[in-house]
This record gives sequence, C-alpha cells and structure tokens, in this order.
Amino acid sequence: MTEVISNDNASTQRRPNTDLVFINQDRHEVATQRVTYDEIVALYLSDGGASSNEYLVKYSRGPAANPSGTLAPGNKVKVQDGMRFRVSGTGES
Amino acid sequence: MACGFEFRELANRNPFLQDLEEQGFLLDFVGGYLVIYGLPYLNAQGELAHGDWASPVDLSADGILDAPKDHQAWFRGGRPHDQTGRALRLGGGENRVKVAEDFVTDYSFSYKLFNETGGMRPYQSFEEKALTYLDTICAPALAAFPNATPLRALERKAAEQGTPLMLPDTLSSRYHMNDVSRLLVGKKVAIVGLGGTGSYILDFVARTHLAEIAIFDNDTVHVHTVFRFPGFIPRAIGMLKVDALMMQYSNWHGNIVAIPERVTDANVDSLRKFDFVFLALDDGPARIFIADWLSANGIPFVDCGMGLNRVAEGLNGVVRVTGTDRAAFESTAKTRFLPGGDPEGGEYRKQGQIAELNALNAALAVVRFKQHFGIYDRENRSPSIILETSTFEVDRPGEDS
Repeated sequence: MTEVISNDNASTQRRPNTDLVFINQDRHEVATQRVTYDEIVALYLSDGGASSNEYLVKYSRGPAANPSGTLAPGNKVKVQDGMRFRVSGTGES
Repeated sequence: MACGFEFRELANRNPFLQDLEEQGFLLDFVGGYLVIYGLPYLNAQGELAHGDWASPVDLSADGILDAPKDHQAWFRGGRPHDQTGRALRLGGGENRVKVAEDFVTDYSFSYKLFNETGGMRPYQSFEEKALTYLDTICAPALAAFPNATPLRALERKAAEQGTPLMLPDTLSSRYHMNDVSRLLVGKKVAIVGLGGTGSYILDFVARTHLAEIAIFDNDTVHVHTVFRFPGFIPRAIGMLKVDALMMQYSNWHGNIVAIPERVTDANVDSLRKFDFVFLALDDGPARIFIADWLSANGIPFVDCGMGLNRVAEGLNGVVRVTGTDRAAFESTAKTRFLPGGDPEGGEYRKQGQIAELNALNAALAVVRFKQHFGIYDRENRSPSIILETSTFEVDRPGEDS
C-alpha cells in the first residue's frame, strides 16, 4: 500500500486521543470516539472546496458497532485506527 | 415478396440456403430457378446498380441440391463491370429467359473456374456456383461503394417493421420478445449531454424501435472524449459530438436528430414533445433546472451521475441513476441522489472518468427507462440508486445507517 502523508507533520507520531483514518488516499488524524459527516467531508476538502452535503461517504474497517456502511449527512459513526472512508461526488457524466 | 412454400422446403433440406437466408440474402425458388435478389453491381458508367441472379438447380430425389450440370446462370439487370469500366468476363450474352410471369432476364452468363492445369472444371457444388457468381458480380460494387450491400432481405425486413430501426429485430422474434420490444414503437426520447455516459445511452437506445432519438450537446469531440465513446468513430476528433454520434449511429437508427445546443431556459421548451428524457450532464445547476422543469411538466426523466476517486488501494467508482417523476425530483434534489453543486464554485472537483463506468451508468439508466415503459419488471419503488464499486453495495434514499 502506498504511504501517503497529507498532514504537515510527516512523522508517524500521533497526537494523543486520535485515531488514524484514511479518507480516499489520504491519512488523517481524527479525534477518537465519533466522527461526523461534515468532519469527514471537511477533511476530504482540506485542500480546497466548499462543504456540501451532496457527497457520498462510505466507510469500512470500522469498529464492531459500525464495521461498514454509508455515513449520511447529519450523522456520525464510531471510529477506530485504520478505518477507511471513501468520499465521492455523483455528478459527473 | 413472400417466399413460397417451395423455397422453404428447399431451404429445410439444404443448410447452405438457410445460411444465406440467415445472413440476409433475399432468396426465392421460382419455376425451378434459385433466385438471389438485389445484388449490387457496377454498370458501364461505374454507377451502383442492383440486379437479380437466377440459376436452374438439379435436385436429387430427396430434395438435396446436386452439383450443377453446367456453368450457366441468368441475370435481370445490366451487364456488370469492374472498377475500371470493363465488362466482367462472365461469358454468355444478352438473353431473355422467362423465369416467372413477372421475371424476365436480360443476360445469361457462363462463368467458369479453372483447374490447376488451366483447364475448365465444373462447379463441385451448387454452393460453389452461387458463391462464385455472388463474389464476382458484387466485389467491384462493394469496393467502390462502402454502403452497398447484397443483403437485400435486411433492408426489406427492417422496412416491414415500420420503425426507424435499420436492421430487422430478429432476436426479439426468435426469443418471443416482440411484444415487449414493440413497447417503444412511436415513442420519442431525448438525451441531454453526450459525454461518456450520454454516448453509451445512445449506443443502447439506437438499437430499439423508438420513433425519434434527439441528442443535445454543444461541445466538440476531443481525444479524451473518444476514449469514453463506445467503439471507435473515425475522424470524429474536432467534430461536434452530436454530429459524430449521429453519423455513426444512423447505421442503427434512421431518426436520430442532432441538436448542437446546451439545454437552458431559452430552449428547454423543446423537450416538451418527448416521452422520456435522459440527463447525462456534469453541471449541477443545469441538472436541477432541467429535472425540475421536466418533472413539473409531467415528462419522465432519468438523471445519471458518477464519480471516480483514488482511494487507499486503487480506484473507487460510483454510478447513480435517479428518476422518473415529480416525487422523485422533490425527494432527491440537491442531495447526493440529485446533486446541484456548481462545479465552477469548486464544490465539485473534476474527477477522472473511465468508459466502463460510463457504460455501467448508461446501462442502469436504460434499464430504468425500459422499466418505465414496462419492458423490464420493477419491484423496487426507490427514486434513486447509487452503486459503489468497492463494495458493490447499493445506496437508496431513506436507507441510511
């Protein structure tokens, strides 16, 4: 698997109380416990783009409470280290 | 001209004739002559003409075609020529033979094959005789006129369908599906947006009995467009998309109307005449505007959309179809099931696209369209589905975790 470091600190040192997750091909640290749809979209757009509730957000490799599925606008899911999120628009032709 | 009982009997006993008929040759068995109608040939001026070839047959007791006694055949039409204007050396000469009451020939031929030592040899089978004459008479015309064809029955059967479909829909009849395939007769559809997805929608619907297919797009074909069009359209680069596609798909369907315009409030009223409209755009505001107008005016629609993204291990694709009525529009507008984001505003980043995803998106849209007209069964009432390739899961409105 390609190692892609999107954060400023390229070290593998993580801040306390964070989990490492993948959003598309990028690594991100998120606060442990739960993450919201808006937070995932904001991280996905961290290099530009206005927030929107028109993205499809799917996740996998999550904890037992929510191992995989779709994260809908306004909702949140429990996170764990190594969890993967896939963010996609649905408007190309 | 209906093939008589006699021809059927002959074809049932001689698979070679069945094969010719399957290929689309127009054949008959009249007064002891096997006739092949509508063969293209070049006349003395090098123009394309069509003639009818007739040969007597020798039948064994059980109706099997024996090897022919002689080289002779008859032709109703002018003398066939080659591309340099010389008469083909078919032997024979002007000769009027009454094959049937309404079928009198103009020429007789006696075209001979040679053996290894340069001597003439008889035809070894009726098949060899017929195919030798076919090839010899037609080859110059087929070389000079790329659209010429000896398959006269295809044209005739296609015309008998009474629809713009250019080929006879033999599959539907063979598998007893004429009743469903005919459900599109008289219907008019429009495709708005002829990128990868729209062009594949055209590829699918051009093979149906629809009365009209209008295609709306004001853009031209680029190299990256060609990569997402079905098949390969020679010399398309630089042409208007709608012109290149109309040219190509007119081989399939005789009433494709190319309209080199974007659909805006200035011309949206031209969609009023359609029985169904496909939306295959990458512009959110235009998608919302047109879907709103169509559904408010009671015109059924299917909107397509897709996404392709790099994820941790390769690519992730999503394809979406949404429709077809006002309730579907109202329950999905400006969500991921019918996005209205403005790409100019950076809300959507231009994503890569890939032909198989365009084709998958188009296939789902066409299935949904055919459900609307009762060709496919439909049990699920959801206004939208999104299929994701990483999981092959389907998302529908109101089914979120």
